[in-house]
Amino acid sequence: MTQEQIKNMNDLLSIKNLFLSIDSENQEEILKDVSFDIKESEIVSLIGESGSGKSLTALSIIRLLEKSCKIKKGKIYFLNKDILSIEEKEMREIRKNDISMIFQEPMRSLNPVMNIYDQLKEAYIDIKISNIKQEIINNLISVGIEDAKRVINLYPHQLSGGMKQRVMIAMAIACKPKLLIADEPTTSLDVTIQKQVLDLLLELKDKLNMAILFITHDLAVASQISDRIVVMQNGEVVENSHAKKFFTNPENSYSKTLLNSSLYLRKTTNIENQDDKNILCIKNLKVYFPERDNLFGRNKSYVKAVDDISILIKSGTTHAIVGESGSGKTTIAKAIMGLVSPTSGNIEILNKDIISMGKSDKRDFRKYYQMIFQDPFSSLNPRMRIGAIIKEGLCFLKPELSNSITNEILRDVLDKVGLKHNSLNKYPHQFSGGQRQRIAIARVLVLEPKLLICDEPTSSLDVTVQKQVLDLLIDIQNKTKISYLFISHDIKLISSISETMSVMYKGKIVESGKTSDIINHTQNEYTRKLLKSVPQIA
Amino acid sequence: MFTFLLTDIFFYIIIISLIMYVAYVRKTPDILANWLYVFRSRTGILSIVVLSFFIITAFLDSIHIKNKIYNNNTKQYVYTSEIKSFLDIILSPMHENYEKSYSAPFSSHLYSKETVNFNNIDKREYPRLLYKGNHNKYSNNKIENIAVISLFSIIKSFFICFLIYMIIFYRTIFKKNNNFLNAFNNNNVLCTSFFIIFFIIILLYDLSTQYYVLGTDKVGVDVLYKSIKSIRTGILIGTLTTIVMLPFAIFLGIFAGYIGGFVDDIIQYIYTTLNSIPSVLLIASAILMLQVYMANNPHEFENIYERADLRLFFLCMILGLTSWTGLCRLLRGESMKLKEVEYVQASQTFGLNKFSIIVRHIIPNIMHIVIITVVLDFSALVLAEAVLSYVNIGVDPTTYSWGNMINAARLEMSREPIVWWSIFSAFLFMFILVLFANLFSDVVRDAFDPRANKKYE
Amino acid sequence: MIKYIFKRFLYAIPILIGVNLLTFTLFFVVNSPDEVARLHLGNKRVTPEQIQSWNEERGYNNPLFYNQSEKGIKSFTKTIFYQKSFKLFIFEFGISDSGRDIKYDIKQRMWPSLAIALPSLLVGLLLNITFALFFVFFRSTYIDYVGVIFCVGLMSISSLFYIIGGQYLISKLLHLVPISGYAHGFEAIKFLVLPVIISVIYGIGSGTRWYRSLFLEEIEKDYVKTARSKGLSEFSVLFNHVFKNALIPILTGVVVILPLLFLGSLIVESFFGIPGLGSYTIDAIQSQDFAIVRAMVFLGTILYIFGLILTDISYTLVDPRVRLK
Repeated sequence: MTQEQIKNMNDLLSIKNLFLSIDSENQEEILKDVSFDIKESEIVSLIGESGSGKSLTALSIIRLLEKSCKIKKGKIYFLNKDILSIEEKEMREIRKNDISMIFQEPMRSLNPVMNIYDQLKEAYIDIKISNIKQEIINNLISVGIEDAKRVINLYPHQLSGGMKQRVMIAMAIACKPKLLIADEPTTSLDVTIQKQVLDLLLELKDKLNMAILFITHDLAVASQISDRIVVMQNGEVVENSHAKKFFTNPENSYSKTLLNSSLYLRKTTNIENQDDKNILCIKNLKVYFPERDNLFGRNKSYVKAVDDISILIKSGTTHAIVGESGSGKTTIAKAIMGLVSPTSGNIEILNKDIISMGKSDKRDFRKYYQMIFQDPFSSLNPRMRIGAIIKEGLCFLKPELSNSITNEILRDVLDKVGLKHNSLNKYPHQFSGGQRQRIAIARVLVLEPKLLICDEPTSSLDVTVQKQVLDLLIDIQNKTKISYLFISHDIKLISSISETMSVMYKGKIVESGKTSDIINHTQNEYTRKLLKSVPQIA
Repeated sequence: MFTFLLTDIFFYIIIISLIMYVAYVRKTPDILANWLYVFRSRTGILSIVVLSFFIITAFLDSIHIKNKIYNNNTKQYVYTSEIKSFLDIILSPMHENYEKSYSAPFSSHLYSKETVNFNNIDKREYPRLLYKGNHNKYSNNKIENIAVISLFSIIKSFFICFLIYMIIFYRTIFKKNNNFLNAFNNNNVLCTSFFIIFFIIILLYDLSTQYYVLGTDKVGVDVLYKSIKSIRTGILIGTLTTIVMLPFAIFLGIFAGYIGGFVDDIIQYIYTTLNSIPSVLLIASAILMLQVYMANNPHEFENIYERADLRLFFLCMILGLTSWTGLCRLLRGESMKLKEVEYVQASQTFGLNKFSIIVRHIIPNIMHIVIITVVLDFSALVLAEAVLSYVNIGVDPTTYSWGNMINAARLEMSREPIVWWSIFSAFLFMFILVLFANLFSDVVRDAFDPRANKKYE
Repeated sequence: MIKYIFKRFLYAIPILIGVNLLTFTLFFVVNSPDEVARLHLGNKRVTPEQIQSWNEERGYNNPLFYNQSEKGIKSFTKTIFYQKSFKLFIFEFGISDSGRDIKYDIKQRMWPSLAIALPSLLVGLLLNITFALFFVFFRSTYIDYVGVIFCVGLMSISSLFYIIGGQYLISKLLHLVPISGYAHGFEAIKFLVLPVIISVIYGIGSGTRWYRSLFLEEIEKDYVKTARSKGLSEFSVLFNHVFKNALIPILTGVVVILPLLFLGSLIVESFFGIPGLGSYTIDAIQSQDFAIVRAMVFLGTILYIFGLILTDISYTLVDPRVRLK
């Protein structure tokens, strides 16, 4: 036994100096010298922003990398066996018995044409049990699916996202693995569901005595469950320390930035900004979508996306709408912008009713209210240059401006959002997500709107970038006294930037009022549940 | 004097739009990147070179002139009704004289015995060819003669390639720190394909001054000449058809997808109806009716060339009208998807009208589908022409086309011994064109399809 | 479900009306019956009387839409539109221009067509899927690469070449099967072997490539990764997961052409002298027998629409996500 192997005795899994590169023209190295260990029944969180190589590390462990990814150097020991050098057949045995994995997108990770029973049965392929059906039902019950008997006959599309992820977990723990790799298992789930899944994982860990490699970008989630934190940046491990130590006293400067970005410390209540002017006043807004009409064109049933809501925003303030997916918050934004037509109700901006407004009046008025979209990757036309994208609104809403003034405004706005002047001739794909969101902000800022609707402007961005974009928005508000209608699923984020807020649930506003009041002593059951589910850095 | 047939004009339009597209692509980096991918791929550059030679041939065959002759009776210069293309002039050694009947490739005699009067004795023998196959320039041995000609063509083509190479890459060659071999290595596929094609062209040209490389047909016409003349028909059917259908497909598809509602219902109804009729039957019906019309109104189509040309044009129209539905449906679906994409919604919040959104956002983002479809349809249309001509509902019987060659060869196949070269050369030419078109479309799809692209990013 | 199918049949009616009007325009308005008659009788020196009697024999002597010389309902029924186009709706195909009963001919000839088309489809499907799975199993190796190039090569060859070449090689040189013709009963097999083989070979190139791309599209999806992480072998991943999902587009693509199999293949049948509907159509086109072409257009449309409805139904059978409303 060599020295090294003796040292590894305690470790379930140990990654030693892993180098990985992707087959392309420049042979880019994606992973650089990655090393860390996982002990038995330990939860290790692998933290990093997109592109940091955390998923590739996980896939290397279970050896499911794409063919274009090549491991250049390094070893991975699992139970003192070098699993990078063993035969594929032997690796399959390990996947069957010892290492399991759950993926980010439960929607896509289950085979859509196989029912739950058949898919789960595959996980028991080598296990000799007389009554496999009962075993599967028991397993499903153990992951919190109460009516397992019914569920096993269903197909994935008939289950909700949280249920699907539970099925995935059931599948993964079927073999009672020694190591479970969870690749962002809660990212696509709502907070309340996220909480349940995290609790389930913790419970199962104790029951089955298994180790978990938990991959996430969310420090708060990691702090809830992990024993140890491994931070990755650009394919390198920059910090590897115990959870307690990490959250109290991180060593690495990047870790510190991450941690700071996750704690929304600043609270901006700019009382002096407020005057009593109404910017936006929504009264009894209803947006119903007809279900698919039948043969004779009669619509009988409706989906009540937005059901009788009222919102009032004062000049220079931020009002936040918080709710889970499908609560109708984006529909409100679209109704204000005229992208969907409201069924009934009033929307007044600067005390003018924009629903009954004539077409040409509305065109002149549009510059006062604008919107930023959630996904900066799809909100910029990939075939247009940045200059043309930013100019588009100006050309149509302020056609009176001359060319030189327009160019002046463009340069000005680039300074404001912190982009270089030479960006104007580039195309969107040359920018990162955060920069793209800045471009999207610049595009609406040139119009000098009074009201800006932000539809989850940061939810698809990395935490550090999120922080920068939020700071930019707050900075702009401080300078221009613009009002925001800020839509988000993240109640924690909202509490740090908004003066007033509404909580939405299934198309209705369940609670509305001053943010500090709601956060600190809410009256509503649902809001309380929401607040409780939000992971906090312990 | 130049004359312009209807299809010529459309062919010029296609060439001009191709040039305009190239100019547009040069200014647009992201589309340029896609095309650079095509150029960098070996199959891509190879098929581009081959296809461009086909297109050049078709283009030369689309510049038509009428000869001026002196009429002795009226003492005036008049134009002949015969129309010649530039290609005819270049290939004049191939078709200035006709033999009597079939002769095999490189043969010096006709293919069938004839009664020849020799010294007043009637003898059955294979008559010698009148114009070619018997004047061996370099050697009396036929194989040696061919070998010498080939050697000369290798030297000639090497020379030409070298010249072209100097012209195209002179900048790289004379750059410092960049020797000639290095520059050659970077473009070896391009150079090799150029060389091979020039070699084949020069070899065929030189050989055909002394031989019938692919034999002669029933009336003694050089089969190689017929096959080359058929290139124009093939290319025209492949391109003109899609060009004719493009405006329909693009505008109706976008209208249906983006505007939706009632407009969508009508457009969907139109293309479902057209699509429900099996396409061969629809084409057959339309062309049969065209035949009846042309037969009953002969005075409108007096000139034999214009008549054949008009029929080719109508064939393209009919093929186009029956095949736009597929593209239209694709574009409708894509426009419906784009309608929900955030950058289109962002423009709506700026109050852009529907027309501006279509022009600025929808059209640029569906063009890749159009390009893939145009390239993909090309080869299928070339193959379809042969089948349609075989059923007598294709191009005019007087038009040179591979389909007509195959159709004419049906009887030749049942002769004893069979006459195989006519049908063989038609299939060979068609195969080369379609093969490279298929390879090209594969590369283009890889380059433009966003889903396929991900593998290479 | 039954309600849905009923609805689909209702939707088919306007399409059939559209097709009917289109063919009517094409065959009777673009060229008047007189012009067609003149063409058939030989263009020159045709007397109006000859045209009249030609038209009368075939029932083309009525006005197009409205007969002024008749009264009541007859002024609509004694027209070309009613007699020749409207009656297609009740499958009254009438008589051909050469005087044969089209309905009888179709009934006789659809079985030989089916005898070629069905085996070609089934054998072709089996071979194409096998090859495609084989290439996918060896994806991104030289086997796959060469296979795809080979498929592109096969695709680039004209169908006429396969037929002519096959006939020459198998029948004329090797004398294995008769060159063309047809017999009824089990005798037919020797006439069917070659056309079926040729149809299958012709389809291999494009079919294999298409199925291969379907499999590859599925193999990149996330659920395949899940299946692998369960420790399944590559073979069972391919069969139990990838194949099952790719089967949906494959199956529905096949179902839509099932009814059209009755129409047969134009080229193959005419080359091999099979008395099916394909050669029937070709003969009609070549002898310019418009009554038959018209009937075939309508029949083809009906079969296609029927295929579409079958496709929708088959979706619900193979894809649990689809529920018809």
